[in-house]
Amino acid sequence: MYYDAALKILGILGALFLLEAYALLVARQMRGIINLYAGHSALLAALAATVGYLTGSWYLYLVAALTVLFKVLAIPYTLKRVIHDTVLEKREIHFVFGMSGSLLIGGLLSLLAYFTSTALVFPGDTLARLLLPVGSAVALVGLFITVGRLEAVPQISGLLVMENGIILIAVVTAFGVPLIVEFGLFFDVLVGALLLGVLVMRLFAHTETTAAGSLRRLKG
Amino acid sequence: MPESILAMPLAAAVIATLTDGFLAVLTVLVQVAALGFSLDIAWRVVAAGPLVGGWFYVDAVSALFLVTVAVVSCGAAVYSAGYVRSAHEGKPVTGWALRRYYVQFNLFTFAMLSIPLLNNLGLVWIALELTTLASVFLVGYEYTGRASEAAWKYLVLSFVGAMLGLWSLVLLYYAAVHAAGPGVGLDWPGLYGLAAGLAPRTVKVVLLLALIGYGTKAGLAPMHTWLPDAHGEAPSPVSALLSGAKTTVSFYVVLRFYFIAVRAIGAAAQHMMLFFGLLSVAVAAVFILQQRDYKRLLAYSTVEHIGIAGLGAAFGTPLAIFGMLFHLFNHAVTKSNLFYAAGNVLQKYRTREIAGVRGILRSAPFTGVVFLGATLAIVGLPPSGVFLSELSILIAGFRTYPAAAAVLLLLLALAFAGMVRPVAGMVFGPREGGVTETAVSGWSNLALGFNMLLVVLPGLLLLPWLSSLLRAAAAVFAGR
Repeated sequence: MYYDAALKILGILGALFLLEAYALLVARQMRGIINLYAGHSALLAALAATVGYLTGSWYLYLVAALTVLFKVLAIPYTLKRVIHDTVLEKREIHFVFGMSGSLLIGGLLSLLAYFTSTALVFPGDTLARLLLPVGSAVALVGLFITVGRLEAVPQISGLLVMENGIILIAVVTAFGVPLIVEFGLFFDVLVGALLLGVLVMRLFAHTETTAAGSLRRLKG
Repeated sequence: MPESILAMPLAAAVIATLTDGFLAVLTVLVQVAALGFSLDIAWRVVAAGPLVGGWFYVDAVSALFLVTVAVVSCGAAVYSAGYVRSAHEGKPVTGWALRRYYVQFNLFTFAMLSIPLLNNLGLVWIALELTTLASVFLVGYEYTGRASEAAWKYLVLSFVGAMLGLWSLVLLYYAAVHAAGPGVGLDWPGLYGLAAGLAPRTVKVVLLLALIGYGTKAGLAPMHTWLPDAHGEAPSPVSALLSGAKTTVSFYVVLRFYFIAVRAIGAAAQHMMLFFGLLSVAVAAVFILQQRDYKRLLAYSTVEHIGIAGLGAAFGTPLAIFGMLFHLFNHAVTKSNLFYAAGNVLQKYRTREIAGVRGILRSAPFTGVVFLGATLAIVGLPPSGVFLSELSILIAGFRTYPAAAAVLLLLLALAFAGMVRPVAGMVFGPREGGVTETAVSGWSNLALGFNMLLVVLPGLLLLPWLSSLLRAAAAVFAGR
């Protein structure tokens, strides 16, 4: 009975996880984007903890705790500290494919993820059947955020969302990767986010804009 | 033994945060010692088989890539000693800027040296991402708008590549857990042993993600676009490290995934690799032909050669695998030497336009000779090592995939024209005004000379010694 309830909760959390990726796809407020990412990571932590409860692997609680520590707290805090308010106060709305076009492509990518990843699920694997497509869809939407938005801050959020999706895949398919790998991975992502933030400020200092898509000097 | 190879650059990075005295010489010593230890490991692996212990697993393939990275790092350390003495308009780099350079330089080499040594593919992933993180600000070191832009592009695309690579790793682990139960690890020999039992459909997706993901860092098309920017804008010793060592060691990771896939799904894997290899060579040939900036020209040549190595892996016969591994070594030493020569030219002429450089042979004879010689070597003229390795790959190709080998031969001819014509224009001709009188540092010339020996020797003398290591490495991937 608890099992069924937990599965239902997982379904709801998974749906929210995907929805929030869409929200990030079209969000405009720079600071809001970072907060949305923190929320997205919190959902990931909840998903990992619930899977841990379902499968009885204490190890996933640790993954959930690390997710909260690194991605709900440390990375958003770092990004907000490193990127100055002059950049964060902006509302920038440049899309390669427009807002509705972006949502449409995001939806199509989710369908693609659904059909390719259900084919990968081994028979009898209920958890993976439920959440592997969600993880793949979030990863692809994250990739598309990086490609389809022109400003630096949303591009960073796209990379981080992509990572969240892949961690979800790791959680539901193999109940996480070995601990040392998990730790190193989160550390890499934290340092990566920090460096991205620093580079955003450098670009801003040189060009007075964070529209990375308008950088066109290096070609050919 | 692997511990000491890794401890030294790490210690040098720590020391570099504390002082800026003797950093250049210290780094040279550390890298020479690392090279010595690597050669010792290679020797023992050839004699007594894989070294297993703790987090490390060193078979002949690892040893080969370890030696390659160590050779390039060693050369780059020597060249750096010259670079920091006369980097910016003849003025030396000092103080915080110097420390920053050497902290990152040593961290970068630490991460690259650890990749072939590590056993666990997850740790390899982390080390590979660390190479990017450690080198981002080396790419943006000269702090211009262009350099920052190149660093941004490098970091974002590498991050995307790393994520796709992680995805591939996770799915591989999923397939392995289903093949062998939950106790399975992420160590390569274990996964390679399991390969035949992995679900083919999953392995196809794993390989596709690995080729695109790890291929991004290796410079395989279509995700190579960061490479000409980063390699073009970085300081020359860093370009040499990126082109010679980083792409090589990333390709090493591609190979680890690829040969698991070959064992699991056979020809389907080879066809995928064939596609990405040919695409890389073709894209590179097109861009080489229309290049106006000589450092970017060299960068596109790197894409080309990684593509050639990919084709060698795709052809898949023992000869092709031998040629592929040999080619990666030759490319690493030759391309890094070209970047050292290009660095000297940049210092003399203060321009990266091919059209702005004339008469290197007169203004800097030694640089001119090396630049021309290394160019002729990289396009595959004998007696260079590249000639031998390309020949092996082509012979193997005509026996397995003749159409692909014919296209490769055609593209090689195009790249030949695209490389030799501009370089000949730069090297020969009258000495024109506007050449600075700053002498090239002795350290830089030492790096040039040392590397030039390595460019030519494999084709003449070194091969008998190197080939025992190469044969042992090829045997690992042949599953024997």
